[in-house]
Amino acid sequence: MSDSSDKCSSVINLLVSQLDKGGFHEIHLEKMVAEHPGCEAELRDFYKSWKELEIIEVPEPSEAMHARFYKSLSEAQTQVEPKVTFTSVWHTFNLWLQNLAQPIRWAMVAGVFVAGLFVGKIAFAPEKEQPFLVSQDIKPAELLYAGLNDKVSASERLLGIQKINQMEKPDDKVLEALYQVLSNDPNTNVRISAVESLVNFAHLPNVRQMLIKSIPQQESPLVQLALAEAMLMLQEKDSADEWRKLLSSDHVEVDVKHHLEETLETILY
Amino acid sequence: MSKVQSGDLSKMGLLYERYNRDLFAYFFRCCGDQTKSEDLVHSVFVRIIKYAHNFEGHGQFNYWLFATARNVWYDEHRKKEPVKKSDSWDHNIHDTEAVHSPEEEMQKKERKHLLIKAMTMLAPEKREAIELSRFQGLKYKEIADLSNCSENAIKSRVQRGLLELKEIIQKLEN
Repeated sequence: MSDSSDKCSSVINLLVSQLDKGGFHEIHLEKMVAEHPGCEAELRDFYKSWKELEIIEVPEPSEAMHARFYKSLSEAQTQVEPKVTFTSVWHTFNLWLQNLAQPIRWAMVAGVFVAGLFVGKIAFAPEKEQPFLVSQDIKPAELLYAGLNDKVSASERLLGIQKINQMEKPDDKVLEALYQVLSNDPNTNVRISAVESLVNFAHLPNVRQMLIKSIPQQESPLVQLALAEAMLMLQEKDSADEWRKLLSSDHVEVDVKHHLEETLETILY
Repeated sequence: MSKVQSGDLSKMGLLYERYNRDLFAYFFRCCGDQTKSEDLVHSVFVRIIKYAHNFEGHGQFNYWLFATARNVWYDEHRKKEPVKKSDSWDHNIHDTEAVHSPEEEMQKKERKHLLIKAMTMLAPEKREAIELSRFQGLKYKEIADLSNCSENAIKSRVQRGLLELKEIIQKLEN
């Protein structure tokens, strides 16, 4: 290393520290150059190298990456569904109560008793019961319909589908919302999640028909493949005609067509 | 993140939407391969879903995210041979080109090509220090914490890394 480089090493070190603070611009460089004229070339070279890194462009990650993540998330969520039992709630409450001072503890017990009376009164009033249950079922469906009009984000629609996945028996309105999403949602990840969600309820009447009806409407290779895998898993031979129509149309790319034919072999032939 | 830790995985989607591109860019600049970068991003988020309870709740989430990304990257390279460089980079450079005036575009492309090659030829710890400070906005102190070394060591890696980058580019040009 030359003498001037050695001498300027500490000046460059100062520049490196300044860069860490953020908001460093040309004007700050000029100030440093004015303060250290003997290291002008080194300072300018170093800053140029730092700035030049900007020209490395990074492509956008693919839709497949997003779809893969949401699939993993959905699987993890089904596995880690928290089980809230009366015993676990009572245990947590009891532990918390034991940590409180004696007078506060008695005040809390009295408070819980009074609250219990109110809750009991509300819970046993017959006219209040129905709206609660209905709103619980409708909410995710409304979320999905709102998504079709671009009123909610893709993440929120995916959350809506995750909520539906947790239902034991979604009603017709919810299933219809899933079908509408599968047929019309602009986001591929959301449509793939709708396929997976409908497969969860394939034992219910109409769900298989919904999946079959949606086949000709799909133009995304990822959704086509997701539907093909769903049909294979369900061994849904009634879907054969729709697949044949799709495969003979212009809506399937050559590579995807080959893959679909392989996947659907047991259904088509 | 605290909701994810307490078992509410539905919030994980929001974290993913916020950070997936940064993370993808981090891996892409390390290896230049789109498919591989996407696989690594997936591995990181799978680990986060699995080990969310290990997040200590203090410090920024992106710091923890890049610490996980770093581990995933090193795990990957413990198993396999070093990253192949030029081929995958060449492929992706063409994918991301914007069209400008032909001469300018050619010069810019050549320069970019050199810079990318030089980045992949840099020692991993120097490349990482540059990547995390230049593109991911982490402070040297944060990079030092996740790399288990001193802040001065990171400063030195950034400084030497950039000087070496220039030297590598000069060698490649000749």
